[in-house]
Amino acid sequence: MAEAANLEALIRGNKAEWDGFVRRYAGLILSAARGTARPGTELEDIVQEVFTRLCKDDFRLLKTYDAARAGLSTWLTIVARSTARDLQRRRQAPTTSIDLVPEGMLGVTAEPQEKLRLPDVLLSPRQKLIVTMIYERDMEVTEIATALGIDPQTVRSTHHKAMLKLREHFANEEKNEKTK
Amino acid sequence: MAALGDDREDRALWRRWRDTTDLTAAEPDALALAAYAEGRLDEAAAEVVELWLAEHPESIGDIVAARAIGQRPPRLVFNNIVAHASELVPGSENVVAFRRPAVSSWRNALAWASIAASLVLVSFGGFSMGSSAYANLSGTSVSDGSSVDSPDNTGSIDTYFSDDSST
Repeated sequence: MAEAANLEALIRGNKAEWDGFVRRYAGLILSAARGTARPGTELEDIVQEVFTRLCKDDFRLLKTYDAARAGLSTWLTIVARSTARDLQRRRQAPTTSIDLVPEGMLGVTAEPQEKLRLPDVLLSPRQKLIVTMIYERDMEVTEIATALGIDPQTVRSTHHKAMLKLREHFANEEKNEKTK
Repeated sequence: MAALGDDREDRALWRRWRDTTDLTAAEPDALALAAYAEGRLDEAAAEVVELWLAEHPESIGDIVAARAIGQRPPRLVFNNIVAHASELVPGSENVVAFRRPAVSSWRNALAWASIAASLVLVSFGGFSMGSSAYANLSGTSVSDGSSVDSPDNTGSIDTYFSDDSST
């Protein structure tokens, strides 16, 4: 898509540029929002929220865009999906009256639950991401490869190495517990 | 061929690992995510994004969607969506407002003079017509009054009746 928007004129408040920007990117924003919208959510509201966020506070968000770092369409897709998630989170945030909560549940637990910390360097960020994509998002190898721009074989080998590390780590941990 | 995620043992191992790790990554901004999606980040910057994505898997779809731009046709947008979004930015100072074409001063003066002359003519004509009408009416009433009210002029009525009777 041609990134023809004259953003400098747009953030100065040029109405004609804004109108052109809206016409050019409304379809893209709609597509991006559609990917995150839950059933029953008005897509029009999401698109409106995205454009509102872009021009809010004298185009504060739009001013953060840097053409040297990423394409406008890519950036708008990220912004649109993130805005859509925020909007849905706000609308579906559960609210419970404090009067309805039992008194015992309002107390603060004196002893915080200790979490067993794993060494930060156990898995590399890439390994963490790939195993998360496989087990959390149930993504196929080819999907992961496409999303990360790497070869499917690299996905398999990265997963394999990550699982070896995890097995080894937990095996050592169990061995240490038995010897105590 | 079985998918990588089908292995129950591996999945259980991953769950155990996930439940024992804390969230540590700083959230990258939208521009960093977009740059990552386009493969423009260096290794160190990409690792920061990947670590955050691993801890926020709901955002992985954003990268997938951003990479897929151009592979799908643009969606048609209803006019009301575009209209509402356009209204968010009001008309700016750069927009030249409609101006009436300039009229030369002599034409302007001529127009006002014509209006003034028309008013004078209409006023004068009205005054003249009013004056002559009053003069006519007052002249008739004077003669009628003299014929009726004057005791010396009683013959006129007789004349009138006599004339009338004669006819």
